[in-house]
Amino acid sequence: MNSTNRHLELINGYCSGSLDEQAFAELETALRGDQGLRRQLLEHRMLDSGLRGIASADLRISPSSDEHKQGANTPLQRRFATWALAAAIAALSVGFTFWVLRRTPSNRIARVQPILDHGVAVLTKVVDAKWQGRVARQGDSMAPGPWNLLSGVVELEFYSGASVILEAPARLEIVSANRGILHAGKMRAQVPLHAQGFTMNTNEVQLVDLGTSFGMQVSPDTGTAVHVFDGMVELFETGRERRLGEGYELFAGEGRHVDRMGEASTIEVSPAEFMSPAEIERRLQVRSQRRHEIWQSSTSELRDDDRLLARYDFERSDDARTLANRSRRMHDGLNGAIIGARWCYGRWPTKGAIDFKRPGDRIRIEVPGKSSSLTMAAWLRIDGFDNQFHSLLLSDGWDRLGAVHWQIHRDGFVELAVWHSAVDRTNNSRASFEMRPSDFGRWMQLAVVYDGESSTVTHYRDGELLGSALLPTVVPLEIAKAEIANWTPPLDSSRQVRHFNGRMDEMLIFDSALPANEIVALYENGKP
Amino acid sequence: MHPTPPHDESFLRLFAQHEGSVRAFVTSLLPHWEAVDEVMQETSLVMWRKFDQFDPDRPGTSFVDWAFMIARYEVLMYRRKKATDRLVFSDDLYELLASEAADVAALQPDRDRALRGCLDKLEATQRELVRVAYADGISIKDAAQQIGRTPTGLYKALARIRRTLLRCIEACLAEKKSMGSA
Repeated sequence: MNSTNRHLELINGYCSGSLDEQAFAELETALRGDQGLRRQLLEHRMLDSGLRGIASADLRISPSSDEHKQGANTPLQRRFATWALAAAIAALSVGFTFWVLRRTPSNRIARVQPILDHGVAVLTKVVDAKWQGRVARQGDSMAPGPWNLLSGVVELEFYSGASVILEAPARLEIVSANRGILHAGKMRAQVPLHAQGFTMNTNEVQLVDLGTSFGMQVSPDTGTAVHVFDGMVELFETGRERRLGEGYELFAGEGRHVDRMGEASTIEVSPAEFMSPAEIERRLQVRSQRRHEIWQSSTSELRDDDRLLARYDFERSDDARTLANRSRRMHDGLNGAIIGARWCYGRWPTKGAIDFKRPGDRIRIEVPGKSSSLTMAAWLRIDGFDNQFHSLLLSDGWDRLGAVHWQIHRDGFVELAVWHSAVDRTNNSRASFEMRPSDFGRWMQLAVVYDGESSTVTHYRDGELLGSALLPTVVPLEIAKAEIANWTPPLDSSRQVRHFNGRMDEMLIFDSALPANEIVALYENGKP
Repeated sequence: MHPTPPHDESFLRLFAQHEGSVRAFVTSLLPHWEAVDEVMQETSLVMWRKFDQFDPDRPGTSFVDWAFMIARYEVLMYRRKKATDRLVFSDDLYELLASEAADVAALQPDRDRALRGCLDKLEATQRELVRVAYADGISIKDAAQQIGRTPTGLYKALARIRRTLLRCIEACLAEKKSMGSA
């Protein structure tokens, strides 16, 4: 084999990921000395990039891509060379995630791998908190390490059961599910029976809790103050080996201060100095009310927005099985029929929402008219993510020009599919959607903009861009008969469960393309 | 958590227009798709956040140049993070490739357009092969198994297809160029 052919073989091997270490080294050496060869490699890889784009667009699983789509009579099917190939395609369309999982454990990214939790505590309440060097939201788990609270107040619950209210500024180091170090700042701990032995160290003392509630304040200048409100704790000198029962016992109503030199003194216990669970709860309520009011006043501005095709604020009307449309468009079909799903509360305890839990749960709507552009924005809370498809809003059936399908796929993307041709699926635009452990039970905003003028589809999550795709073909959109949170497939097709598992408490449909700043404003005015 | 860049439509338009080039650029510098996807995600986010720093009036800086610059940095970050990965080009070679990739990637829209035409000229079986082998989330080995070939057979077939397509694309681009200058 001459060197040109050998080099080409190496480049192809590189593209296919099939080179061993030795061949790879050979390729590297050849590339170093040969600009032409480098150019060839770049062109090969860029060809790969183009091919992958086209192939994944073709194979984009349209929402209707159950068996009927690949049925025996479609032109697509007849082109298959072998039954095996047909099987591959069918497998891809019908059970994409499952198939990928089963066949190529190494080829897909973390989303389908087991989700790991490195936390030993969970952040349960957050009031205006800022952390040094990290962002943490309510519901996030907290891994061992330094947690320096710059401002605000938080409550965290160690997995052992101990719950701690931390007030800024504070430097807490989480060590394990039942142990921490308070380097500076103020905390109040509530330790149930199950967490007995919960230990909090400071520069001056080691505190072992024996089932109680206590306050602790650490100042780098003056030392550690311990206030016991209930039950009993034991104090040990820092660095000294602890033997339970040999420490200094401190009972309810007793306080002790240990200074930097280790000098201890008795102090007055004052619970008022430490934020109580009731107080943090009250602050949360105040904030929640404020946010609800902001949403309400911004929503009242939407009332007169002529671009709104449908506006579902998920507040109950007289008829408990109707989801009232509150846009200015008057069309009976826009009022949704609630099927199965139940009313519950939404982003705020005083706001209505619909809970979709069972496979049959859905809301049926009919949206009249055609439009060249469309924006949909929804507030939702995902409670389960095990279906392959999680329906957001889908036109009934599929093969109808302008039918709109908006849904999340379990294997990590949100998709807006607009039907325009039986064979070409390049109009299904996707953006990656990562479901993190802490996303369960958390309200989020999803939005998608189909802009017929610029031929783009843009996906957003919580006001942030998820992705944007250029459309080869633009068609007029026509939602027509459709469902929120579920999908009615064509008669002869599969009945795969594809409902949305969780709650929704707002859905806006505009017949124009909202610019990014308006999506961000919707998010900012609606965040809980 | 929330950035406050000028969330501008013009960004989306530019991004959508040049995503293919940026993706090609990133692909040319990384060995596998997981890496490409991760870097692309990071790159698009960074671009979105820093878009207000992009100055279209500065001579010599087009959006795509700016995008390549950010992508190149993100590839570098990825390389650092995954320093122990197998089959990653050494730093010196990476630098050479990175500085040569931009010129090729800038032509990606033309190449992609040509590619669509060239794909149509392939035999149907070859097209299906491409479809299966390049689908998201499938390794070549699994693709081979699915279509009843050995991996080596599929490698060879794909190498032939790549060669055909690259020749066809070159021819299209050359033709376009000669038409343009006529």
